[in-house]
Amino acid sequence: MRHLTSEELSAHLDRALTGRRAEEAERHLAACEACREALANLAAQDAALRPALTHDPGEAYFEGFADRLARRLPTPHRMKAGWGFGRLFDSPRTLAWVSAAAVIVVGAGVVLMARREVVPPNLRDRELAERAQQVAPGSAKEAEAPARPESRLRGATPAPAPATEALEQDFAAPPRDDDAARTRREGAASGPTANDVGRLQSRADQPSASTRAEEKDKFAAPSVGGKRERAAIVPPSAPAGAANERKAFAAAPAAPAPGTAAPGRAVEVRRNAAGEEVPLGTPVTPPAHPSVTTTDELSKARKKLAAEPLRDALERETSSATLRGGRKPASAALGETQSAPPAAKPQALEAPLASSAPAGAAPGARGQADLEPPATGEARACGVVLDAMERPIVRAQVMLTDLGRVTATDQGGHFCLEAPVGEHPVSVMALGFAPRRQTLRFGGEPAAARMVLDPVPVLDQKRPLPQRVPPRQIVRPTPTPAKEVSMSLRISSSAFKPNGAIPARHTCDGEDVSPPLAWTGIPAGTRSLVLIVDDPDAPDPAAPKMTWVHWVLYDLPPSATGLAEHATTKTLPAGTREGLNDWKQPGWRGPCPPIGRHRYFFKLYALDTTLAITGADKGMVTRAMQGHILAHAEQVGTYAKK
Amino acid sequence: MDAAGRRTQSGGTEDDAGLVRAAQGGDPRAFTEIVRRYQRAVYRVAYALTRNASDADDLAQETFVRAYQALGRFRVGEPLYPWLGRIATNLAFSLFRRRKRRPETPLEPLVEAGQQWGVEDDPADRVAADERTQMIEEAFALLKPEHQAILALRVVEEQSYEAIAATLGIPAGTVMSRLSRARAELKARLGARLKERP
Repeated sequence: MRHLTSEELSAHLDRALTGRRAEEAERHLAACEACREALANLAAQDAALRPALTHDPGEAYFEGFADRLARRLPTPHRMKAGWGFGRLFDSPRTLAWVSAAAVIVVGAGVVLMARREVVPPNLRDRELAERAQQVAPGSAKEAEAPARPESRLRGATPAPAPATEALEQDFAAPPRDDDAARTRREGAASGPTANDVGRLQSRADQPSASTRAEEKDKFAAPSVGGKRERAAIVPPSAPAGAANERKAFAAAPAAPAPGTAAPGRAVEVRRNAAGEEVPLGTPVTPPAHPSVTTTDELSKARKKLAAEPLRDALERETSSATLRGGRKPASAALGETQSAPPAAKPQALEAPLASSAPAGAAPGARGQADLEPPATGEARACGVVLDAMERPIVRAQVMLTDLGRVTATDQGGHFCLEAPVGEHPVSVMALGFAPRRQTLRFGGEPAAARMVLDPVPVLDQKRPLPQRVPPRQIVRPTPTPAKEVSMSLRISSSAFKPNGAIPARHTCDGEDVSPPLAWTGIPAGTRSLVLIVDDPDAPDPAAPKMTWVHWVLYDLPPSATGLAEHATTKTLPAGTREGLNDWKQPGWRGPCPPIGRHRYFFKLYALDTTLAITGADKGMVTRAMQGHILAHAEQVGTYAKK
Repeated sequence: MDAAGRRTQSGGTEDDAGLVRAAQGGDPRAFTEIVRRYQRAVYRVAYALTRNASDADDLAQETFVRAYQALGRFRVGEPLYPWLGRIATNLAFSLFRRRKRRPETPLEPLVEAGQQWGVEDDPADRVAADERTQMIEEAFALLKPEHQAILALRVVEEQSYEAIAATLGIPAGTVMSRLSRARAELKARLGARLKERP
């Protein structure tokens, strides 16, 4: 008689034999006790295996499962796209790059559009005159003289106005900063024009300095021939931005005084750090000059500028006169930002900002660079955007929602906007923070608006998830000052001192009851406590391989101030849930080290939420409480087996 | 847990097909419903393959994350559960491989430590059944991953041979022989463990 093979037995157990094979197996089993016993053993083994492989985490676990999962999923519309567009936003870093790229592209577009605008030069001159009158009544005559495009492009005529001087001298050698600044102050009328276009120019040339040069040459040539239109397109002041930028890059140690500029240059000459002339058309990579400024600083300054073109575009829409006549010389600001070491940032960045700088007022801390008075009827209001910890938020977007004017905060979180006198609604947005709306007063008493943004709340299990959940990675890097871990929480035991020996009563050498514990300093807002006791020295302190978990309690009510000795399910504070220790049991199980003196860490965590999971072990508890820890404290006790 | 509860709670393939179609169309509620429908089954497989609540939680969550990412490629009308089970087992296999590559966190010391503290130091309340469960778990942990997987699907999930074949992506004929070998292997390991004991 052939016995059933183990495969047949196994299959028979699973009722997987069919037809004749099944019948034969049945017949054999009826006759063969050995095979019946083998089958019974196999069934018993299965039965024993089942509990070893199953674990019921409880209904609460499954109730929260989908929600916890939702936080890990990308937003729905991306599902099909796979590696599509949406993926670009998966990580904050990528997002930052993408937005920076977008801003640059948009900015470049705006600049290109601006350059296509044809402004008849005579109109331009008229505007300048008007502007000059606004800004410095009485000096209108003086102001009328300067900005004559042809003269400078031709390059043969000495430049009449200070700003023009600055331009010319930039061609030859960069001026000192203070000279440039004075120039700007004095040339209130012409300065802005020059710098305005220069600023646009400097933005356009962000990607490549040589491109700018080529373009300029291209345009400059016809204008020499008297094509007024061209001259308007590329205003004479165009080099200003370039010059300022180059000033930063080249950092010439000393520059000749204004007026000593070499006249008669029709072509721009670029200089390198050593002051040598670099032929145009040679690609110049500004940040490569080590003596000047770090790539980092440059890119920061560029980003700062790149964040603004939208505002330019909007303002051009609303008041072109303001734009052309009274733009603040941002290219100068660029120069300063780039050339100044971080520590010596212009005070402007730190100074509290005043609103409504009247025409002709002495420039304040922001001074030369920023306090260019706005057009009549418009006032400037400034403010600072901070997080809850009073730290400045850089590159927050500040928008006047009624006018659509937008700006971004600088390194110090400061911003300034111009608008018609009165109150305007403003909205402030920054990545990782909840948007904030308030009104901003323009004109009247100078006052710096403080806008404090709240961080985007870290999603917790209790709160219903929004329809489109941002991926976890984007939520995580947001500064969450409220969650900063404080150490004022303390835990102690009357049974043993910190780092002292745990009495045998609390170990397997004694009754193995939990030691008495007490805690103080539970922070406000605590909604539950977690207690974890573990031993990082297992199995041998000389060669620790693992952390053995002795006790896991969570959802302890914040009202609890400690645990009496011998805490059991019945005596634990109401609401407390018992997790599993590494014996896969709830409750305390004390030290019982096989070798050496082990340390036992009694760790208490104050959470801003309850965990509402059941049957959790330490791993699940620690994962669930991530981002919710308000404070933690620990005390260590030791034990060595007798 | 009774046998019925252990089985996959499925609303049927047709019902699933509708959910899959809706989820593929970007309806988050549909995917949530799929999760609710299969979370228990996936967790059971995950626990059986990791024998650790925390790893099981990770594995179950990761299974659905992968499923979500791959949902666009899922053929509507196919049964969902074997597909999910396959993702879970494949993830478990890679977990095995990772753990094997890191000799400082092998399962053995855990097992030993459990013996040192959990068995020898055990107060009298530790019942014999627990001990047997622990021993069989230790023996199971020493099996090859594919043997663990097939036993988990059969013994815990009580899947049919066809379903197991679909989940593991192996021919139906292989299921019978592999299951048999897995059981024999487990028996041998268990026997060896019993002999080691005084």
